[in-house]
Amino acid sequence: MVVNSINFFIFFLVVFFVYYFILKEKTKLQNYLLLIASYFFYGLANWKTLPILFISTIITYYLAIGIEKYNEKDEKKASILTTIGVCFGVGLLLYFKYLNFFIDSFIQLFNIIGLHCNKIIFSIILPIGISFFTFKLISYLLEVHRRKMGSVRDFVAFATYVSFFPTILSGPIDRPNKFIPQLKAKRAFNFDLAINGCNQIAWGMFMKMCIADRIAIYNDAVFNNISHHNGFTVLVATLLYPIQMYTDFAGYSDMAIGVGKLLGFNVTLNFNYPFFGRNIAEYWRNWHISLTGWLTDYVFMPLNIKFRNIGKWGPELAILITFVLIGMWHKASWTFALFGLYHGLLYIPLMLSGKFFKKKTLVLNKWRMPHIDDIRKMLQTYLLVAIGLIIFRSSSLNDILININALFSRWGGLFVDYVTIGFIVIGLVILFIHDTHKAFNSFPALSKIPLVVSTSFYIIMIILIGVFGGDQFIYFQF
Amino acid sequence: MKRFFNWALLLLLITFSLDRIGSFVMKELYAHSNSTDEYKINYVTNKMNQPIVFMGSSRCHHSYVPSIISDTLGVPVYNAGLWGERNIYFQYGLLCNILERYIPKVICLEIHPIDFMQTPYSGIEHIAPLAPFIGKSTGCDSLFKVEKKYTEYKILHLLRYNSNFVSLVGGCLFVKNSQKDNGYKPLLGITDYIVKPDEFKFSIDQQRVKILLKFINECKKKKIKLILLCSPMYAVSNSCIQAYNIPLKIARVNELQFLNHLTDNEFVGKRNLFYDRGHFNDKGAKLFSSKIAHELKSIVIRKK
Repeated sequence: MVVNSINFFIFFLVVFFVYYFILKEKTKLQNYLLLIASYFFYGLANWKTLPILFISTIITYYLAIGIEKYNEKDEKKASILTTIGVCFGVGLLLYFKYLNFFIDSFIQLFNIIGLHCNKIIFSIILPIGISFFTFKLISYLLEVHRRKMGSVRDFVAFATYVSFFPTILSGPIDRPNKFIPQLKAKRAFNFDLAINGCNQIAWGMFMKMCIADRIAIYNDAVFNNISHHNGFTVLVATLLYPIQMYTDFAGYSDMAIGVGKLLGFNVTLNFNYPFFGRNIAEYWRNWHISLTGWLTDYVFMPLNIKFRNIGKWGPELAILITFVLIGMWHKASWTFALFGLYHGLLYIPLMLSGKFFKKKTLVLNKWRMPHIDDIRKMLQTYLLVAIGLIIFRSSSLNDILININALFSRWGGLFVDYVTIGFIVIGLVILFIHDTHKAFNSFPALSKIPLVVSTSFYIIMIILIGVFGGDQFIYFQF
Repeated sequence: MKRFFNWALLLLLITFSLDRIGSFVMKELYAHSNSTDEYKINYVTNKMNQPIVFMGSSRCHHSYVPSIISDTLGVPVYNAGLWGERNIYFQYGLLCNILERYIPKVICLEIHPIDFMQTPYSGIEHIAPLAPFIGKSTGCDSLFKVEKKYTEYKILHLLRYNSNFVSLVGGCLFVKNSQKDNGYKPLLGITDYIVKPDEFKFSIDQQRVKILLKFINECKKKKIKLILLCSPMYAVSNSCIQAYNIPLKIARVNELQFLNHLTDNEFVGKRNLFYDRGHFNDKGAKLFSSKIAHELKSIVIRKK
């Protein structure tokens, strides 16, 4: 059940009605409802993997209680329990997502060194959203171990946190210390939050259906027949791809956050206008924030401390490892490891020059737009991201070379599908106005437009120029 | 909560108002657009009055030159074929809309495997371009009901024009005229790549065959002489030849003429006559039209 579908709308209406009209402010019962709705929603995606979600939730729940208990009495036992819990979470990921990849990689390695092995591939069903919910489980255990929060003694609330239906399939990855307290608090209907949520859902749908899916029509036509297209066309498609990714993923995140708001929750922000980043560090600070924040707290920071004795190159090594993990988190493939490594390497000059640690405020000109020099830096960063996404999009190392080669193949006229390009231009203009206004308040008059009007505008635009029955969300595969 | 419901109500009100205003504007744009698709669908539905009509997908659009056929037959001819995957669902919907206004004497339907096989282009969603004409005929509306889009189109009028905005604006501002030769659109150029013939290894689709039979019955009911056609392809596969046994059988059962030129040696394999593997260029279309006109002459005159 896709979030931007009629089926989801009906499902949500039922949940909304029972949640506010029948259960009113009975927090416990509301949590029961959310849990049932979340498992129903998840089960519709693949009911066979429901037990994995349920069992991993139970194990983590009891481990956290144990960790809290031993936190006071026996620090060593608490650490052992935390290690078991983290290993369990990582183990889930390793088994379901990475086992075949590692087997395949080892077989290839053995074959290279002359030890011929037969190919073994296990038939493993990848539980949808596993990358998202295991990260929630792990962060919960670590937060309890670090004494940043107590263990939750309400299983329903905890299981709801793990399986919360707007975010389980594609994030954002909510932190337990921010989300679980919301599950415990009384949730009366909040008008301002709700209309804000409606607006965000409409905007998210607009991004997905009017921009991402439109660009997908052009890009699919180019990338699926790359050998038939000239370098100029491939370049245009390559430059459009970061916006396709952004509007696809940020669109989903906005819809998830909006649905959360309608239910009275503040879900973690996932995107904060990343293409206004003037260097790769600013870009990553604002792109998939819930994932990068998670890896910063639980991977980069500990590694950085560990590598202190390495000296000057310690932080650089920590960032390289963190980014390779970010890449591999997406998919078990060497191309994703390379994608992570590429971004990690882009960080090194920033770290060596000290720019990584300085947060320079963006100064706007009299039109409330960035200065030319900052725009140049933003474009440079965009270009670097677009190059990185060539690796992201490629299915193999050989594919990367084919894609890069296509960029430098025969030069010629642009492959033009006027209608699609026309729609893309309309979408991009609206996106530019929206994002510059939200980020820099560049169009103050827009602030005066009531939410009801802007929401209606997005809906009308979706009806008029949206792609119905477009592609699945890109991040569902991860 | 009451406040929220009022807000939601206001949202619906504004959205519906914008929907109706927007659809009115789009309707006007549609009526004045010169873009090939919209102009042609509009013309065929509301203005076409020729007694002989060619219908079909792109292989019809680019193969039959009305002026040449008309000269031979001595009666006006219109090519209502349209590029894109205009399968039998689209053709049937269009026919129902046309028949609400006038009854042609002869319809020549260029048939293609997308009309009776389960190809990726055979889906009912290809009737979407007829959405602006909802309410025109019960036959066409029935297809939208099968597609389960009818209610959506009835509620949201603007949805009928979904994805038309750019071509309509372009068609009003930049395109001067799409009506050069009674609906025929020449393709200029010669196929420039090594052509592998299209394979049609799909199973027969009874649902589509049913619609094809409905098309045939509608013509019988209105006493329209229906002729099935198949124009040549540059390269032909065995699976393609075999696929055409299905319309051949249908034609035989329904006592229809089927002019099958798929493997016509006069055209097949002649690069200078083709734009690509499935479509004639202008030169090929003119030659083929001349040939088909003479064949039609005997049939149409006999009919007279």
